[in-house]
Amino acid sequence: MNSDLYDNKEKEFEKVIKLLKELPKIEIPDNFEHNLMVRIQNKNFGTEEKKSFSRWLYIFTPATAVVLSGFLVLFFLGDNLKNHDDLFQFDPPVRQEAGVKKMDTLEIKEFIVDNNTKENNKNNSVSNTVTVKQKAYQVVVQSNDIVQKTQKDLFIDDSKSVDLDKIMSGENNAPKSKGRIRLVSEGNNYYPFDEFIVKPQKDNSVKSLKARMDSLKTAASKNQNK
Amino acid sequence: MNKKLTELSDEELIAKFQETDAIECFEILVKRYKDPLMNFVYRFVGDRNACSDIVQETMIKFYLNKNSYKSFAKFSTWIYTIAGNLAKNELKRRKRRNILSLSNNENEDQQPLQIEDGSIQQPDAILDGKIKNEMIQKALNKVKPVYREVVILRDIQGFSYEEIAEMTGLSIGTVKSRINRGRTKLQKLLKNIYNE
Repeated sequence: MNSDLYDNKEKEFEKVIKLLKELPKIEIPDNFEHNLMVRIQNKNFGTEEKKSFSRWLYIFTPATAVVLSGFLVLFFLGDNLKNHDDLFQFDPPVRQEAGVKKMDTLEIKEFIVDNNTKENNKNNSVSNTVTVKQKAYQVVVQSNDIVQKTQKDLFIDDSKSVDLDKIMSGENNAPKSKGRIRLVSEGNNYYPFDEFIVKPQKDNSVKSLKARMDSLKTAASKNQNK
Repeated sequence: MNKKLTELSDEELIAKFQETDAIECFEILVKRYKDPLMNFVYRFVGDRNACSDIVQETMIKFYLNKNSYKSFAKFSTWIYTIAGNLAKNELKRRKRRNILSLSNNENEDQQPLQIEDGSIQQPDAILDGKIKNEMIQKALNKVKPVYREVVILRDIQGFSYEEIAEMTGLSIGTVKSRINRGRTKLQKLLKNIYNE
């Protein structure tokens, strides 16, 4: 169908086709064959030499691409790779964070114990102020075993804390703030709690002593009567 | 021996040249194809000096890559493909050179060609003479290369649609449509010539 359509159109372009067919034939210069055979005998194939050179360049293309991409990777990720011994082995970030938290907790706990013993030695008394600016250390152990220790302030907020000594002695049973109280906990994580419940314990020794005193008194009065 | 070789077909000659490296076979094929190729390349590129070099380059490629010819194809389509590709490369090179040239004006391309110096020469003399041929060549140069190539192969070189399809690597339908587009464009450009 399509071919018929185009074949019919040939009649439409009859004049153009006739003009083109009437064009004189162009002849090649007389020395064409001679020049060609001289070139072949002399092996003067100018374009082939260029092609063979370009073939050599093609061989180096993959290597050049690899080197360039390596440079690009180092250029863009260079700063991030400084802390790593192996360029292609990164510690997963989650694992690193977990390690930091663990170390952080241990260090804080140790510090709290030291602080209490110092206070006991100095005053041997109950401290009135609860707000103490304590210092803790955040320890980061890197993959190449370098330990980084940075000082970190740890706040015990007076409004959100409980003086245990006062509660024990019965001076103050209620917490100072109406809000939730925070418990000094691991690292930066504070777990809220409402209050300490102090249960009063009955002291039976006084009663037994009183009973003993009474019995002694009755025995003494009996002796006097005799 | 030589007489026998001249009686051989193109395909037989190239087969012999592949087998024996006989330079006589190559020379006969060069003699057969130098003028048709020259005509094709000149009509395609439109420059006599450049087209002689292109045809020589075609023959050198044929000599160097004789083994890449496969016997199932016609020799003429193979050698015309080489010449066509070299001619296209030349046109691309020229296009790059003339990319900023003001002569490649789109509006100018749409205008029918004017008969130069019509007052001095008689119309019959123009139609029969050298100027007419030059005008046709100018019109051909204004047709896009993709259409020009197939129009030249069909209407000047006289190849069949199948052969043109094989040379250009296009389907027969595409070849036909491109020929028609090229002819339509030529008809517009040559209106003044065949209306006289």
